[in-house]
Amino acid sequence: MRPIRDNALSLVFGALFVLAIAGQAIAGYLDENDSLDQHGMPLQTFGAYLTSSSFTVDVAENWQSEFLQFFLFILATIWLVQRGSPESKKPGDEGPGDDKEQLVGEYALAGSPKWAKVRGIRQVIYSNSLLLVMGALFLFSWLAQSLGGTNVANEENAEHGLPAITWLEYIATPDFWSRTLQNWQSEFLAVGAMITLSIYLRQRGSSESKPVGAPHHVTSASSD
Amino acid sequence: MPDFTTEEEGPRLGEAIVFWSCISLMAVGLAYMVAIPLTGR
Repeated sequence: MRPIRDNALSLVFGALFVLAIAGQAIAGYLDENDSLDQHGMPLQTFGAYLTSSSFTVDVAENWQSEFLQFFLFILATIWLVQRGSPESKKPGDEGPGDDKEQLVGEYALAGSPKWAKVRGIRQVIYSNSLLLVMGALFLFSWLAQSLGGTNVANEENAEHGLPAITWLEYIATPDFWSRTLQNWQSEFLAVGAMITLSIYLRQRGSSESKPVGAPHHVTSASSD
Repeated sequence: MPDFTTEEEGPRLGEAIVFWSCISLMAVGLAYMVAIPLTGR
């Protein structure tokens, strides 16, 4: 089954995502009903939970931090290096690179993407397309988190007889920033750990590692 | 820069399917997560 083998990495992570979000939905539903039961309130159906802001805010707050992580990692690795890390370009290679290195314009190959061969705005957009899409995914996820969080906060306010707040008021609350920053800190730590640990540690056979016998100071397999 | 050499074989349908499936999944998921709070649920 060559198509399966050729796309195994995407397929496995796609399947893991489906299993994990199904598990999150079930566990979140049971937790929500436990909470409603403790407050003597009527229990929710599973369908009502899946179409509630309680569910979407929990999903969105994790999505936004993951996409921010990749957005910042892609952006930072244009201009910053870490000597010895396979996650980095080698020192001296900072910057966006010239057309020859990037195989664009007159240096494009026969099989290069069409927008890599042309000049102008299309090449600029395509040259930054990964960063642009990650940035858009981050902003929409963060927006979804803030909208869902506003509704959840207002449900809690109603239970306590407090007035409802607007979206603008919610994004200035400690709840919004607590949900946001607790996710950001873990992402930044994980990226930093991957960059630094891979200087001295190896995983034989992984594309995320230098070859086992590569010297520690070598930044990637193709470094001098 | 990493060494870059073109694949000997041409593009296949599989990578296009996983790419557009991923984009579609994320677009639908984000639209859902933005729409649900806007309906007041």
